[in-house]
Amino acid sequence: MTAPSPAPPPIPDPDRDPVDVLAEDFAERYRRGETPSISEYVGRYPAHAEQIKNLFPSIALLEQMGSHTPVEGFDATSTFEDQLPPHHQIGDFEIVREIGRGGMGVVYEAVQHSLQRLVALKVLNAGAVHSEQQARRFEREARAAAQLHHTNIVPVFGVGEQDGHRYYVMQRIQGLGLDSVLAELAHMSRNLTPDHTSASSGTSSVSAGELAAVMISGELSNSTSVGVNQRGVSGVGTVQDSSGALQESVLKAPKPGPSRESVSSSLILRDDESQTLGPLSGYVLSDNTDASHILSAASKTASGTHVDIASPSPAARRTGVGRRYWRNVARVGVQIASGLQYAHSQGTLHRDIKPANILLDTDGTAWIADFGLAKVLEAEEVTCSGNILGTLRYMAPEQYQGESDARSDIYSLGLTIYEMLSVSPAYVETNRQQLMARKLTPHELPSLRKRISHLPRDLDTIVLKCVAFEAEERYQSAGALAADLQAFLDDKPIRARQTSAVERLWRWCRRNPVVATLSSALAALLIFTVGLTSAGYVHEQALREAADAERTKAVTERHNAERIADIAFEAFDSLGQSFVSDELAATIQLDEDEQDSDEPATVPAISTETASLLEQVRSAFDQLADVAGTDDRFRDYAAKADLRAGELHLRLNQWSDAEAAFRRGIEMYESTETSPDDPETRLRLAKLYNGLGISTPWHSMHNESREFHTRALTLLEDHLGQSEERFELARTHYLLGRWPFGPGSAGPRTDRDTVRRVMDSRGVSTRGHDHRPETLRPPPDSWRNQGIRGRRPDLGRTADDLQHLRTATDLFTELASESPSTPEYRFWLAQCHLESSRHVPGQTDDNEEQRLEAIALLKELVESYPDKPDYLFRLSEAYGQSYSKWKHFGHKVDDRDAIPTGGIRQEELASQVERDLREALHVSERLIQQQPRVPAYVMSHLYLNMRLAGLLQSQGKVLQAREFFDQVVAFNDSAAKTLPEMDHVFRGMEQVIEFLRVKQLMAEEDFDAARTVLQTILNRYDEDAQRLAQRRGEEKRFPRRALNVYPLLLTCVENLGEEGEADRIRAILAEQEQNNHIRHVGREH
Amino acid sequence: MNESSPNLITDELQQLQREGSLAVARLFSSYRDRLERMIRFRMDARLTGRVDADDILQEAYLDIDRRLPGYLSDPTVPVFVWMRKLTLQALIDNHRRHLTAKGRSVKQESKKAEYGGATSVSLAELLIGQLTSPSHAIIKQERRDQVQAALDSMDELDREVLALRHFEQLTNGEVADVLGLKKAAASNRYMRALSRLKQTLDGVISET
Repeated sequence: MTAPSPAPPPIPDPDRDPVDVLAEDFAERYRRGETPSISEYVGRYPAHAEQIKNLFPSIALLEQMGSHTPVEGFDATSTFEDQLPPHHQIGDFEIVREIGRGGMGVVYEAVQHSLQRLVALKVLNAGAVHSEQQARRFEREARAAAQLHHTNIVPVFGVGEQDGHRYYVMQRIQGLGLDSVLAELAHMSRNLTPDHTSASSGTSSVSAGELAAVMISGELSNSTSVGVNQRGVSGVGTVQDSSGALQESVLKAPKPGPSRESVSSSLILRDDESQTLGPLSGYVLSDNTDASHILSAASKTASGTHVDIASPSPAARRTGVGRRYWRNVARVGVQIASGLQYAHSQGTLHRDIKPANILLDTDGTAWIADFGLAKVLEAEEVTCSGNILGTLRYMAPEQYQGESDARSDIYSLGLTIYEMLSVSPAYVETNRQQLMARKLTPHELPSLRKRISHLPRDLDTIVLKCVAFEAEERYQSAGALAADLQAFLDDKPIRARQTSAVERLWRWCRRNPVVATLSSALAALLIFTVGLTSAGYVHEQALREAADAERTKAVTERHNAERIADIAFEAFDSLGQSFVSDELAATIQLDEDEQDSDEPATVPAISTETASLLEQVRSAFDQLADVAGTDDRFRDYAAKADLRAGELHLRLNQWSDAEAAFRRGIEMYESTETSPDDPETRLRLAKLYNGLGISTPWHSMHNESREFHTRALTLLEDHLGQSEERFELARTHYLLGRWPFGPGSAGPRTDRDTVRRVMDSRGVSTRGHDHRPETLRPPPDSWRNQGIRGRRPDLGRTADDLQHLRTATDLFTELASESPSTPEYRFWLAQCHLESSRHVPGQTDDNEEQRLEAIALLKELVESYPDKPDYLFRLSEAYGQSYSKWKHFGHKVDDRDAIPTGGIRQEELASQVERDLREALHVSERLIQQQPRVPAYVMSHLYLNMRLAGLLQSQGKVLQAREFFDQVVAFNDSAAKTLPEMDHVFRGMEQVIEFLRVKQLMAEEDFDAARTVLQTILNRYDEDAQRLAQRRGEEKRFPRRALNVYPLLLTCVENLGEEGEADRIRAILAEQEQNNHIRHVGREH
Repeated sequence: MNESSPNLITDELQQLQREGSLAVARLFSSYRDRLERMIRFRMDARLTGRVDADDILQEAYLDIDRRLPGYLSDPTVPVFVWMRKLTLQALIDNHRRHLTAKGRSVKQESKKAEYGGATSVSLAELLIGQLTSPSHAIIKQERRDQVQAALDSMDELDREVLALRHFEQLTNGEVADVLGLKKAAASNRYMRALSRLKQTLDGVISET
């Protein structure tokens, strides 16, 4: 399709206009960020020159409109004029020039004729105010804002509407948004030179560079002492004096009014404090030529000096020249805080405090702009997503929930101050979702002193208190904040106290016992630990030069980090506990027996909540592990974390995540080359290897998985001591002894992270629902999908496998008898028996004894621990496993009198299995009542019903079969309601049930009805095949899965006595048999 | 899909058939940007701020996942076009939920919601408003009206073709699938719409 430019050229397409093809290429290049030239195309395709010249400019236009990137560059080349031109009249106002623009609209400098004053006119975007209701709200808020009279709040003169332009009249502040100043500061710290041309030139009378310089070394006025000339009344006076002349000159030459030099100079003079220059701010736009001449030189010098100060070099940082800057930030803070305090006392919240809404004038006064606008426009301000992000970045966490109070404004101001101090935003996420995720996770911003060591501690403390995640921990009023900032400026002690990190975070843990919060808090703890730790390392670099005090501090921090890690693990343990009951929620249950279609019929493993909790914790662990890698003190923590994370992932069937976690844990030790002398480490490593063996993908099963378990075995074998080690050893033997292909085997994994998969093969039989405890949960279909493609499922267990299984059984027996009070050992022993009793190909023993042994053990456990769903579930399984024997030995209907292994007649076996299934259902019923929402239990219950129905059908117990069949249908429906998130699974099950229905109908000898259903199924298959063929442009293939259907259809047709039709079907089957790659034709039948 | 390799598309279908939800997740995330672009373009301005594109995407994703079996049993359009359709549906549902709930006239809303809002109004706003800057307000009403009138005079399908090609960045083949046209017809429509637009813009520019 589209070719990269300049060559090769786009491929012509007979279906399309050739210019269209070129146009697509042209557009494509735009999207790649190029700016292809139209003449290039004209040159290359002269035949289409006319059309290209004609149409491509529109394409360029469209592409630029459509692009997400702001189209700033476009204005310059555009022939469109979007500004209100000078002299344009809006009501009483005459536009002078544009001085800024934002998400809500464009701000103009304008002259108000009636009062002969200069004002700032904010013209809202069309579409910003939609409804009448909105408009009224806008006016109401504007009126409220107009009531605010404070030195640090930009006075609002009024609102109005003219020609569809809604506007907002404010005092004209001769200054810049703090965002521009911050950008300039950032620029300076990167490039070491103030940029007088960026950000503001041409639109404002002040340059960001100058203000930035002032911030660094100037002395900003304090809230209490400034504002003489900023108040409306005195300002108006000034203007009136000169307005006539002023207006004329401005309108004639609409470019920056006061020279930069003059403004800058005034600041420098203030800085020197050698004299007091009359304020150049406010409305005074007099042409200060003299001053500018005199002072321009000084300005340059000053700028030169400032550069040094702003430079981030450690030398500069340590010299303490930043002191002025910190104080200036504090001064801005005091002013804004007192402005907020005043507004709050008037009952008005700002709701959108951010650098862009704080103006800094040439006189050093800070002003809050746009009071109340946020509320009016919160739902509307969307034209520019960048602005939204700008707002979101400074929003307090609770505001995301739509709650805000005074403390939210304090938070936003805190973040603004934080940004001023660090000259970079506290939250840099550019993706809205990421930003929100980060902001909504309880956390603390790292202390700035970690990065800026010479930042005064008090200031750091004040800022951190402002931005505390929980509103209760912030300053409770803007006044209190202003007071503390003022105390800092006055070198008095501040009120805020820096709680220790441990204290603060521990408090969270205690306060939030619920798992959800706990895990968030835990994640926060860990992230914080990471912060502390990494900061600690940074410090380590500096330790050599740093003072002793610093050294001590770093050590303390390290110590704190360790304590936090302890706490975190404590918390994590309890988190892990809470997962225990949830353990099987993760299980995916599948049964291939009833799986006659290619439709998906699996179960989503994880509840979304659980998954997201886990994800939080895991990412925190990841970070911890990253940092920890550099210090072996944290290595153990990290490895433990990885082990736990891996185990949790296993529980949730997140196989690849689990694998990654285990691998990381192992690497933790391998990278440090520690030989595991220490028994605890050895055990952990063994567990990690076993985990890895379980989570390793199928295709490497035979090499790797076994290899990992073998390594675990080696680690454990010669160092037996504690029962925990012997338990792990027994587990290892068990893992080595399980039949990797069998259902419930703990080995092969496929990626089950996203739940459903399509079954593309029909299974081998014998599927009891067997489930391992804890981590040993296989994705039950994996062996089926891949196993039958030539692994060695027919081999059954090797002698080695059997030996391992026997050893495992012995070890667990030993453990269980040594500590009869530990139910886990008995549980595992039962597990071993179950595994041994499984019907594995090539294994002729009945193994019934072992299943009964397992049942006996589990029954005991269930009696002692009736509330443990795990034991109940396993018991149900043990009963249900009986069905595998049926599938293995007795399910051929046409071989009813054959005597299966064990000398039992078919019918006896059937009734035995029936009894077991009823028992299994009975247990399962109990389980479902306890835990109605665990997918594994629900699915298991469904399958048990289906099996029983199937068994009864095949035994000709038609009425009883009908009973269970009806239950299947009803349960499937009700389960779909209980577990709405699994709705699609149950929908998929309906297709499986369709087959069961057919069999039921056939058992009821209603062959006509059965045939109808079958025909529907066949038609559907055929249509699918047709469509697939079309899409692939191939000839239609015979749908493989129809091979399951035809034999049934044949039976129906035969019974209906339609010989001709029967012959046709036989012919189809015979033909397919010929070129069939598929095993098990008619197996089900 | 002459121009967007046929292999790729059947391949996607196969992925869905083979891997189900896993593939849905993967394909959806690969199309995410485009779908989001579509939502942003078509979302009613009054809805933004109340509903996030992300929310709609999420809603759409769940729906897509849920409807996978149905789609696989009858895949008449390529995967992307299918996903886009369901995403658009999610957007329209949101429009209905939010905009008609406010006691506004359903009739008035539904006209816009019916085809996801690529109306002449939204195009005009983009053309005039966002084209030049975020400041719609300062554009003279007449100029906007003019462009809008010109767009109004265009065939709805032509307008949609422009939107699909440039705002949603669909290929011609995809446009054809979305609109149920033959590829050649989609291409012709596009060329025609483009020259119509050009005339329109010329008129507006010359007036300024």
